[in-house]
Amino acid sequence: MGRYLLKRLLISIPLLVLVSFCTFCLMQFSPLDPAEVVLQAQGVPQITPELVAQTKAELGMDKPFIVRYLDWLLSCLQLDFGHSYVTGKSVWSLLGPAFVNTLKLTLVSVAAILVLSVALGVICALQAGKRTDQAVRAVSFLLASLPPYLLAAILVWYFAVKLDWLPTSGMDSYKSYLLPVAVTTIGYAGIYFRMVRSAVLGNLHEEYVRYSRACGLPERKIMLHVIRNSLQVTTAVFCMAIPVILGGTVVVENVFAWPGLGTLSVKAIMSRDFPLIQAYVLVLAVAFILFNTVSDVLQAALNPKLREEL
Amino acid sequence: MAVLEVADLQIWDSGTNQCLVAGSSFQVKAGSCLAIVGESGSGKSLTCKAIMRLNDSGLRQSGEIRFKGENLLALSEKEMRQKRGKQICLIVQNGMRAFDPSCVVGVHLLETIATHFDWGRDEITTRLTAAMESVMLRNPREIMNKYPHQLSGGMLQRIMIALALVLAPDLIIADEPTTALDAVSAFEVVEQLMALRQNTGCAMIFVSHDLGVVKKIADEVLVMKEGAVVESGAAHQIFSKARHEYTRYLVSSKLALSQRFSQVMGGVDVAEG
Amino acid sequence: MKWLKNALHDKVAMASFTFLVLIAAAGIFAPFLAPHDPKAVHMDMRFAPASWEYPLGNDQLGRCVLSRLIYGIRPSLLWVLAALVLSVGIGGIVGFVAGYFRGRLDAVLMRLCDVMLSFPGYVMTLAIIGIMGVGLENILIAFVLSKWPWFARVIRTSVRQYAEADYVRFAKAIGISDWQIMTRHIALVATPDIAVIASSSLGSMILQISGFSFLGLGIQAPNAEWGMMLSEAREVMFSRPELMLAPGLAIVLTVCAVNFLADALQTALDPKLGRSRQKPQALVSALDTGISGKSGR
Repeated sequence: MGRYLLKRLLISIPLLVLVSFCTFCLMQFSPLDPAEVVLQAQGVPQITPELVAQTKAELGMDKPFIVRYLDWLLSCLQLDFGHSYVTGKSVWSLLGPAFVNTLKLTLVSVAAILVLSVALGVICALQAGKRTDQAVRAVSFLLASLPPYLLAAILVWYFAVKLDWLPTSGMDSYKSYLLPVAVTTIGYAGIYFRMVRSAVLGNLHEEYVRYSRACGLPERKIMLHVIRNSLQVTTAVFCMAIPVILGGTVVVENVFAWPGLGTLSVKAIMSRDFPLIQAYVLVLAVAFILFNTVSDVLQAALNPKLREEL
Repeated sequence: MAVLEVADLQIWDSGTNQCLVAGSSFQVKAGSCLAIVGESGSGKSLTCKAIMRLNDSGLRQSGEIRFKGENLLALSEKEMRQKRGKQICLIVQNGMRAFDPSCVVGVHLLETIATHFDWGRDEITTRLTAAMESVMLRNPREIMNKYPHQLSGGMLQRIMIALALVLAPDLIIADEPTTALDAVSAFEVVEQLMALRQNTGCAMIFVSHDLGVVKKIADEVLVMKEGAVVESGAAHQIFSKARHEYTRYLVSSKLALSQRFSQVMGGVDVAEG
Repeated sequence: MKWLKNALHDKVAMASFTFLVLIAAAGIFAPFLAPHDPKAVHMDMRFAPASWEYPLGNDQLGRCVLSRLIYGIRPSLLWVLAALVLSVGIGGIVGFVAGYFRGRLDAVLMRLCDVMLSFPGYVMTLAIIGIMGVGLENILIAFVLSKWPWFARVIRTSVRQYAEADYVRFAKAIGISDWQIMTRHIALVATPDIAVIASSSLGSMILQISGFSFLGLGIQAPNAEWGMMLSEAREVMFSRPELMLAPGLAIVLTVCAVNFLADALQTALDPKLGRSRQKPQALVSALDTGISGKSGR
């Protein structure tokens, strides 16, 4: 088990380097000249070629590619992602708090999704084909076809405006968590619960269930085995749910004015603030890879067959 | 004295209304071995699962299945569960898939025995170890700590037989236990099954499409084709003086295959004729 | 193809399919179907309710809602479909090649996909939009670039499963060319898998792209698109909530129909819901009896 963990970590390192390289390259493909963006943001009235060249030198953009990449990488490792072109503030000072806010929203949502999907998935698998199952599946189907911003708008209109129970936006009290978490949870739980359900159903048809019944084992013991096997598949997906939701809260944050990564990234894109976009992509990609590794390790811990293949 | 009496067993698919087994009747006498032979799809496995009431929920059955006088089809699920394992044991075809892949085999064995008997953990382990050694499994404790994918098909079959030894049921249903094995492992498993019968005096239903194995182990034979029983009788009669055309066809095809084998081996008498 | 017929046996699936075909047709023939110009502004008709001339009323700038809805089919559904076809196409070719030839080619291609998949979908799309700027074309390009590795991976797994089947080995052994095997044998069997994968992604792609338009990153005003219409309606949500009805329903119904169809395809392919088939059936058993000489079966 320890060896597997080590191997897995070692494999991620070249991947992380490659990803950082790709992120850096990505920014170089822009049709816009970053020096011009900076000058425009600074409100310079006339952008002459000399000014552009001067800004370029200031920003260190006249150095060769590899040097720039290594410089950037080294400073990233020290959490120095440069300065925003638009506001001039350090990127990390903007990204850091936003990341924490989004993380809070994500973790609460993932917990809710986990509980809801596993509960619904197991119940529906056991009642497969009967009315409970059909009802839950119909409702989840409908909710999954609803765009999250529409769902958010409806919930806001009903709970925040008509009933005035919850705040419409912002991140003040624990009450302000309810609606954004609800929207995120409903959106994802609909998908995940079906996965849990099909995993449990698939396991219920396996030969070992029949043999266990033939040996006279009580149903609840058999169910424990089934759930344990089903969770293998689902563990991987739930682990990956964290970075996926981390990157996917853009719309929800926008609707609820949640001061997180989503709102920040949209602002950055609108104003073509490259260092910010670059840092955002890098941070999320790293989070993705890290969680991928964790999920692989977890899967191997649960399924001994996987430890032997790498 | 018949341990099991099956009368007019019908199995049909409730979804398509297709009849899968049409009114089969047979008996298994105490201490004897009934072999059910036939091609794939003839309903052999369905019959076995029907006896244990383990068919998929889409399949329905009717008729009478009397086990030691009791009609199994009339029992509640709880009562049936108590009979499974303790009085009727099933040995399945594919050992690799019979055990939970995420647990070591020992877990299943301990759980099963603990469900039916009140023994302490140590006693269970002792009995299991003895049973596993008697089916020629070396290092039983090591084997109990292995995952199913780390063991061979033959070993897993023998583990199931060892479990049956400890449970000591009145009837053992072996559903094609040798089909997935190579010739050597199959031979060993058949030997173990015969020893099991001798030691516990239980009755056995042995399902197979390999007539060579059947000839070795069976007292009575039931021939099934496409869901119906075409012939039944004592083993030696079926093999030498079969009445139904299909049975004769089965016997002669098998004979043709093994004749060629004997020819190639230069007439040396190997495992069976 | 039998499985397609099976899928359409389900009445709901048939209804969804018909619905989608009608909507797509409406989008293609939008200039003929829409009663008015979707961009025509009539400030005197702001928020007008439904009338004979404007069947669904007018929005906050007096534009005809129905016309905008019909013209909106193009970016919301048709262009998304095109992007899906493109990414499945690219992913399919890469996945096929990787899954069939295996070895180093497979390893290299999959490493490439892994690197690209290390960037979560939304993030990748945002990054590409960040570089290239906003607009519908850029969003679609971003989508194709971020989705094709995922399709490549999934299709490669599926193709690999089939390429390891006995009948393929047999075909290779008797000297059938790789190209023929890929096109005549594997492509046919892998198509249902690919169809299921593609159809299940279509729903989420429609939602995501309309989400981007909602944020203002996709299609730009004054073009009509369902997500953007919802964004505009949201601004007047508290005073005129009914404006959200038309585009909202349009999206929900379309995505529902797509998902129904995807579900039906998946069930037709694999009724046990979740168990992967062991191997492709008919050809295998036919060849099996021939080669290994097993009796019966």
